[in-house]
Amino acid sequence: MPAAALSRFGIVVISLLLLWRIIHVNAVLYADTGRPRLPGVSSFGASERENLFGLIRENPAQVAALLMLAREYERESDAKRAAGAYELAYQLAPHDREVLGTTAEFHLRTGNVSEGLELLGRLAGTYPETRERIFPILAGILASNEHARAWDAVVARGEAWIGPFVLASCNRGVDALLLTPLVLKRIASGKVAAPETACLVERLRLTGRWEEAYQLWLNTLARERLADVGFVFNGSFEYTPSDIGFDWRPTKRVERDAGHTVDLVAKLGSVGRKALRVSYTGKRQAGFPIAQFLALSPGHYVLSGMVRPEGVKAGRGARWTIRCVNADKPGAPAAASERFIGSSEWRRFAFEVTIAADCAGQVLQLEPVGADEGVTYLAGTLWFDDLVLRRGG
Amino acid sequence: MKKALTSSRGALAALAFILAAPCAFAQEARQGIAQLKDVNGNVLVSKESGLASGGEALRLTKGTRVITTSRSEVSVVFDNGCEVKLKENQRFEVDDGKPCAALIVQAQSILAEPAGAAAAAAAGSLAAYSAVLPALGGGLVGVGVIQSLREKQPVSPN
Repeated sequence: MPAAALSRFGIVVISLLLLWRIIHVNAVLYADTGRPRLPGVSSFGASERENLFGLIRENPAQVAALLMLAREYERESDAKRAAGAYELAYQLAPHDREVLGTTAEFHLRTGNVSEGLELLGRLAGTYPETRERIFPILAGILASNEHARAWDAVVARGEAWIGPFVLASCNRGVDALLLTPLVLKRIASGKVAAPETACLVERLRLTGRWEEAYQLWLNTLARERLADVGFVFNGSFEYTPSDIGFDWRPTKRVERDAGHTVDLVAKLGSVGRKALRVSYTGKRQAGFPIAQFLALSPGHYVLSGMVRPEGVKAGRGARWTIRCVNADKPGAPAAASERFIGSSEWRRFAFEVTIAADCAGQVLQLEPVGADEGVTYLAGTLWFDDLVLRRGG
Repeated sequence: MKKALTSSRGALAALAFILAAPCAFAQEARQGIAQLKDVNGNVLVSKESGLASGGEALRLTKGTRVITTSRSEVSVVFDNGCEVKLKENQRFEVDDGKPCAALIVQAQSILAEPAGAAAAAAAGSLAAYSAVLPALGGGLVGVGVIQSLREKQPVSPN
């Protein structure tokens, strides 16, 4: 009995849906007076067009025929009728992939970029497989710099495709400064994803725009982290490194490949709650345990910090270096600390740093002594804390 | 008598120190040539060990950099009355010996879009609209194809 009632209910629902669809199609295609919104067949002579009208008469909801009719009108430079046909198709099937694509195309061709942008956005949101083709076009609209208001509306709606658009465009090499305003708005609305900002900051840095990269990265920081940014960020190692922008970047290699491990742990005698611990396994060293990009202006500085070596041997020790970076390639050390080797209690170390006028960006990294010369091996543990870079010296 | 004179001299010196001390402290507090006003949002100021948050009425010395982030603004008010307003994502370096107008134009936007590059990119991309877009809808292939499809399939209102 309940099954029979359920099936009856289902039939009623389906019937109502069909009825609604019929009414909707008729309301779209016919005026209140009963006159079709499309022009009469008699006004055309071409047989293909007659066939199109025939198809539409048979099935008024045939949007493909409507779209083709619209293209026909366009070819004849009849923009008004073309717009009407596209509009009808859109009203009949607002989520149809072809309708969205061709109607967007029409709007862009006729200079109605705001409408086109909205439809393209809807297409990218509904059909992710179209993004590969759509995103370059959206990037072109963004680059035209004439549709800021339309973009503002899109960003304000917080549509889900914007993040993938930013990331894909950034990876494709679109000028990061064009994408930055979008990301800034997304940061403000709390919708930005870390890969977006990471990619943009990286792209800006790689293209030599260190100041812009630094500024964008500053915008990603929480208010409490801005209280003391410093020349060296998180030099007290109290926070987990984000691996983004100008924060610490611990090695991503696994221990057996790198020959070392990096972690931030509580340590008695250190400043604050945590300290940096780098454990060398005694194996061949590959890469550097931890690094941080800096954007120091030219001048003299002093880098100081606390260190505690524990049984560092099997090599010449490790040291902090600051190297100028050009096109992502670190140059010769602009400054280097003493070698950390052997064992000792917590003690302070310091070294002078001079940044030349032609050195726009730098990298601070912990590296095994002799890494430039060839293979290095290192065993033992190094603790660091309270790294601070000050002007002067 | 001599002892009395010595002690009164000592008292005078102590008095002079007490009177002078607040002036010295005030002078120290007033060091710099400008200060922050109407701090709104995240405003950063360069210090000896790098950037740090800047609060209302913070005194600024020559060479200090003031940086704003998104949705932030601040005014740098010089002791001579000159006021430089910074909008979001701008930087300004405190300087002296310059006319107020020169200081005002010294405030620079850091994340400004490159106009030339944008225009160049736009020209290429806008021209590509027509070439790329026809493929977006999946392609309209002609009346014949629709008719043949309709002959094989039942008619459906989408």
